[in-house]
Amino acid sequence: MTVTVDAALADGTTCHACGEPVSPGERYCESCGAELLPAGTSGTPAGPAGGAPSPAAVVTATPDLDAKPGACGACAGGIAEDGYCQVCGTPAVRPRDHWIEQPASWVAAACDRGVRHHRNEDAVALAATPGGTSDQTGGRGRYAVLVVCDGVSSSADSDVASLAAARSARDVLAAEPIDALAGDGGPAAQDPAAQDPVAQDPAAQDPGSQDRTRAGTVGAQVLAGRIRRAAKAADARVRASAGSPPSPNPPACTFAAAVVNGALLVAGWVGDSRVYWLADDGPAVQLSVDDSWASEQVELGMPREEAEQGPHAHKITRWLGLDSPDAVPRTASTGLTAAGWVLVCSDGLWNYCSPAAGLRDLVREAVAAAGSEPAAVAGELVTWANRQGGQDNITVALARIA
Amino acid sequence: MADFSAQVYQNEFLPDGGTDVHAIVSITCAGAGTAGQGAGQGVGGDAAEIVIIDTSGSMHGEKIKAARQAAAAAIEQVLDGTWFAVIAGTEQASKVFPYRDAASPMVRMEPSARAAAQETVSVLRASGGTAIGSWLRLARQLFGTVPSLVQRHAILLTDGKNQSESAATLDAAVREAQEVFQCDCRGVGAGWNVAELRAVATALLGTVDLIPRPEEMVESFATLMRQAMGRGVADATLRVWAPRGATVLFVRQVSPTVDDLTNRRVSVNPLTGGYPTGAWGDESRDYHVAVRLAAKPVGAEQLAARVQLAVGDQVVASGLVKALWSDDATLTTRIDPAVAHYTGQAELAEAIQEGLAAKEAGDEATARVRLGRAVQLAAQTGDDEATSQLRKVVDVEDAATGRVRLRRDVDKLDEMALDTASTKTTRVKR
Repeated sequence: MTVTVDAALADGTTCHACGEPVSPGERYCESCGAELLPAGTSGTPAGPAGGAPSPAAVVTATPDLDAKPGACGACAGGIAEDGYCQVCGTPAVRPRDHWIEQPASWVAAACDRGVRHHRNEDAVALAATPGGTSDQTGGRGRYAVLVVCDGVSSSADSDVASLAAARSARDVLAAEPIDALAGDGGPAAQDPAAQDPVAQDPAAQDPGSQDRTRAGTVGAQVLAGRIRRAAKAADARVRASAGSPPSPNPPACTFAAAVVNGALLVAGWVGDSRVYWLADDGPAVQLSVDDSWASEQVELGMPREEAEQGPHAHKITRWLGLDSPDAVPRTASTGLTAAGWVLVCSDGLWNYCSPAAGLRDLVREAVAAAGSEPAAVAGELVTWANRQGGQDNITVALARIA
Repeated sequence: MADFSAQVYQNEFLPDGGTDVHAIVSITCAGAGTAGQGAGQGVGGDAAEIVIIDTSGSMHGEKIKAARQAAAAAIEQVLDGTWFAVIAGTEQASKVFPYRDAASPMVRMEPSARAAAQETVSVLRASGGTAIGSWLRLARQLFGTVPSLVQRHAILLTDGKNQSESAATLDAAVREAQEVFQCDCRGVGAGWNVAELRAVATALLGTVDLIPRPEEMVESFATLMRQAMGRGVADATLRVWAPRGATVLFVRQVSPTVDDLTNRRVSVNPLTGGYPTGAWGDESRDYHVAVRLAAKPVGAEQLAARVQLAVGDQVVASGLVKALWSDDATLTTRIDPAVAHYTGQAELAEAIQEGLAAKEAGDEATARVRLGRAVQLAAQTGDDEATSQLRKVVDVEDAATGRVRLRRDVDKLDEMALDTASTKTTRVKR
C-alpha cells in the first residue's frame, strides 16, 4: 500500500527557516510564513539544495486565451469582426473555447467547450520540469503540476473564475518544487508492496503503517499542504471575481490538482473533477473521491453506475467560491512505481467513462490512434468525449510517467 | 450625420435536420436631416423633385381644380435649393415649369421660382388621353440634365387607366426609370387601376394610395412632399450575406408596407446581395429575411445571415441572424412573434389582392376563398383596419374559419381602398 496522506504537522519547536518558535499543529510559521516541516524532517522543502531542481527549472505555459481567432476552423475562411467566418458562417473558435497547453514534452492538456455548451467554463493550468521522462532515471528531478477547475455553469462569469483559479493554484504549486522531500527516485517507488494504491482521506491516515517510508510520507505531507495553499489561492481568486457588491449568483468552480514529484503523486480536490493514476500494466486507480451527491450515494451503498446516472448525479457538495461551505481540498497520494499516465480531468470526460480501468483502456486506445505524445493523447480523448455527445465542457490533463 | 441601427427578431433554434431560418430585421434611421443637404454619409449632392399632374380630359371639373391646388401645395413644400420641374401628363408629357425659355431644363427652387411655378399650375387645363410611360420618360430625361443630383424623386397624380399607350410601353418606361428616380403615385377617384399604378410605384421604390375625393388632394400632396424633403439620406442599400451553400429564400420589406425585394438582388460579392431601399428619413423599416441552410448536427451554431444597411460603400447598420441546432423542442417549436406577425400580414396582402383580382375577373369562387382567407388572417393578426375594410366588400359569416359571402352592393372606392391598403402593415407589438 503506497498511499499516504497528509496529517502530521510541525512538532512544535522552531521554524526551520527563521528559527522562531512555532506552536504544535501549525502548518505555516507565524513569523516568516514558511511551510513548516513535520517533526524529524531535515533539509529545506524547496530550492536548489539537495540536487532538487531550482524554481527556474519548472516551466509553465500560459497561452493567451483572449487572442483574436485567426482563420475559420471549418473552411479556413477569414473571421469577420462579428466573430463568424466570412465564408461559411461558422463561429470562430475562440482560444478560450479550445486550447492545448504543454509546458514540457511529458505533460500536456486539452480543454474544450464540448458540443452542447456555448461557453467553456472548464480551465486547466500546467507546470513541469522539462524532459520528465526520457532523460531522467527513476523520475529523479521530475516535477509536474496539473490543475483542473470546472466552472459551475449556473453562475455568472464562471469561465473567468475557473481560469483565474487554475492558474493561481498552478503558480503556487510551480513556485517551489521539493524533490528532496520525495527522496531519491521516490521512496514510494521503492515500496515493494505498491499493489493497492487507494486514496485515503486525512482522517484515515495511519502514521504507523508499515508500507510507507518516512521520507515518502513527509514528501506527501508537504505536497498536500502545498495543494491546500494552492486551493486557498484559487478560492481567493474565485471569490474576488464575484464582483463588488457580489452578484447574487457568484462564480464557483471545482478544483483538482495533481503534483508529480519524483516517484510521488499527490492529489487534492474540491468537487467532482478527478485525479487518476493509470499504470500501463499495473493498477488503475482514482485517487480523488468526488464531493458529490452521487459519491455520497455510492458510499451509502448505491451502485456507482446507478448513482452517476441519477437525477442529482452532477450536484456537487463542495466547490470554490464565495458561497462555498468548505473549500479545503481533501488529498491522497500514491507512488509512481511503473510506467503510466497521471490523468486529471473534468466530468466532461469521466461522464462517458468513469471507472479507472475503463479510462486506462481508453488512454491505451487513444495512444494507438494518435501516438504517445501527451498533447495528442489529450486531444484524442477530448475528441472521443465530443463523439459521445460532448454534453459538457471537457478537460483532459496528462503527465506521462516513464 | 444620420444614425442607423438594426435589431434582429428571430428564433435562432432549429430542430435536428432543420434548414430554414426566418428573421425580422428592424432598421431605424434617426437624424436624417433634409433632402439635398449632402448628409448622406459623405455622399454630398443635390436633390431634385418633379411633380407630375395628370391633365387628361377625365380630370375636367372638380378634379383639375383640386389638382392645381395640390400641385401648388406640393411646390410650397419644396425646399429652396432643390432642383425641380412640373410635368403635365396627357397622351404625351409636357414640361410646364420651368418655362421653355428658362436657362436650364430644371431650376433650383427659390421664392420667385416658387411663385412662378405656382402661377403656372393654377392654369392647368384638362384635355387629352393618359400615357403614364411617356410622363416617366420625360421625368427621367429632366433628372438626367442635372449632373450634381444624388437624390431624385417624383410625385405622380392620375385619375385614369393607362389608355393611350401599350402596357409594354409603360413597362419599358418603368424599367428605364428604375434606379434613376423614386416615385410616389396617387390615384384620385375610382377610374384608375390599382394594380397598374402599384406596379409603377413599387418598381420605383414609392408608395401608392387612393385619394377618394378631390378635396383631399391638397393635404395628400403637401404631406408627400414634406416627407420627401425629410429624406436626408439620398440612397441606401440593404445587404444580405448568406453563407456559402445557403439559399436566400426571400428578402421582403414588411413594414411600413409589404414589398418583396427578392428579385431585385444586385450582387455585391458572391455571398452578398444588395437590395435597393431608396432614400431614408427619420423612420423605421422592417425586413423579413429567410435563408435555407444545410442542416448541421444538434449543438452546432452557424451564422445564417448578416443583414446590413449600406449608404454608398459604407455599412451603417448590421444585424446577425443565427442558427443553433437543438433537440429541445421547447426551444425549436417557438415561432418568433415578429416573424409570425409579418408572415401573416404578407399573406393577408396577397389574399386581398388575389381575391379582388378574381372578383374583377368574375371568378367568384376564388374570390370567396381568398377574401375569406383574408378575413381569417386579419382577425388572427388583430388587423382591425383590414377587417373593417374587408367587411365593406364581403359579408362575414365566420371570421375564424374564413367563411364569407361576396357583397353585391360594393362601392368601387371601398374596394380600391381595400386594395391600396393591403400592403400597409400594422406594427408588431413588442
